[in-house]
Amino acid sequence: MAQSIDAEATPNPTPPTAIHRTAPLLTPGKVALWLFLGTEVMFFTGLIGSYIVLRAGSPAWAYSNLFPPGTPLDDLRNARGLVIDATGPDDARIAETIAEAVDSPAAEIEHQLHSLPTVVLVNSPLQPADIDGLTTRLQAAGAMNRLVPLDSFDWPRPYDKLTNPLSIDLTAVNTFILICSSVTMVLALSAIQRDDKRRLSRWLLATILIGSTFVGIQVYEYYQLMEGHRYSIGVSPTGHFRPNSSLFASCFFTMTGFHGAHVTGGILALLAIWLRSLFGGYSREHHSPVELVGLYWHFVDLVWILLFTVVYLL
Amino acid sequence: MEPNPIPPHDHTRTYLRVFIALLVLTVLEYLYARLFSDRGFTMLVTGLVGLAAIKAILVGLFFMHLVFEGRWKYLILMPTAFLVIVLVSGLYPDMGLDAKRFGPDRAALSTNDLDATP
Repeated sequence: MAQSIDAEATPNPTPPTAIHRTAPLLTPGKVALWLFLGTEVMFFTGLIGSYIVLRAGSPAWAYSNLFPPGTPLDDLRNARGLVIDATGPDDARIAETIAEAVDSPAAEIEHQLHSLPTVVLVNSPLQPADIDGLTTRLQAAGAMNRLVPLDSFDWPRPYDKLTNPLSIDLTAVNTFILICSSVTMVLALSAIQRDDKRRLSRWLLATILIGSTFVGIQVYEYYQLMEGHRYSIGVSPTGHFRPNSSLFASCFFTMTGFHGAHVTGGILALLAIWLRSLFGGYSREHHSPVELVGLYWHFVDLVWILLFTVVYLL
Repeated sequence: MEPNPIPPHDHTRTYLRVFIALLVLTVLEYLYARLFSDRGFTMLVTGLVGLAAIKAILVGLFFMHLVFEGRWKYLILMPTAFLVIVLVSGLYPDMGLDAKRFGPDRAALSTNDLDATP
């Protein structure tokens, strides 16, 4: 391959040194980085592989629509729950009606009603409740609600808000954002390979900004999951989705947290090479740090492509 | 700093084409997940993992230059891939399937199994 490329670039017979310069270089830096990426593959295999195995071993009753994750369901098979799908025009009245029935502060119920659908009351053999009475009162107040039987799963299903709080729509956009940063990174490398130092700096800055946007959205998502929203009982016993809420939760935060840490490290490295590029530190002949950081950045993007699929979509 | 080779070609057009392909595949993945979320899990896994694998291969081949450069990188990636497959395949039947089939939790039945019990 090196020989044919060389023939196209320079049709005249070339001296041996020129052929050597145009051949892909097996540099120590590149070998070292690929070895490092090999270890990173093992690192994420440990996480994603564990996730696959733990999920395969999760019992069929582990998650349900009416009880917190991990609740034994032997005596609860006849339980029924009241699900709110829409609050109608009078949110405050709906929240007050529910708060009265479940003996909880109205502010907490209002908070919970921001994430619909949600289970507001459960009638079970262990904890009887007037579920039909509340249904009638809520319908009279304009809410859209329904009574559901107990349904259990071995793992939270995507798009099922009663067990899975993850926002797939937002994260799909975030995946696209990270792919964009990979494109700007490769365009930065392409620029310095043409000795275009100005475009190198611009594309590196674009990569940093887009990558930071990705991290920002992840941080926003973490906040909403752990604090900002109050989810249905099937997501977590407290309503907040935190690492100790369930096995799914701890797997989710471990995997995306480590990935986020890798992205952050990549952004710091990109910042360093961007700053150097501003002072003309790279040229067509010497730009290996750009290529090496780029390789790491593409790897981080590749891992996210797999993580998004495995954790969010499956 | 190590000297870099002078690349004979500008691959910008290729990169932009790969970007469009990644964008299309991301949209397809999203739509597939939406449409098939209630149908068989096997179908969901096959489709989504397949699409994700294609995206990962595109990033690896073009953005990480596996297709443009030497094959020595595969010397590093092949043992890694082997370990990935062996590790997960080794644990899956034992910690995964057997834990569900023979573990202490098998007595706690799901609502779906209750109709089948005597």
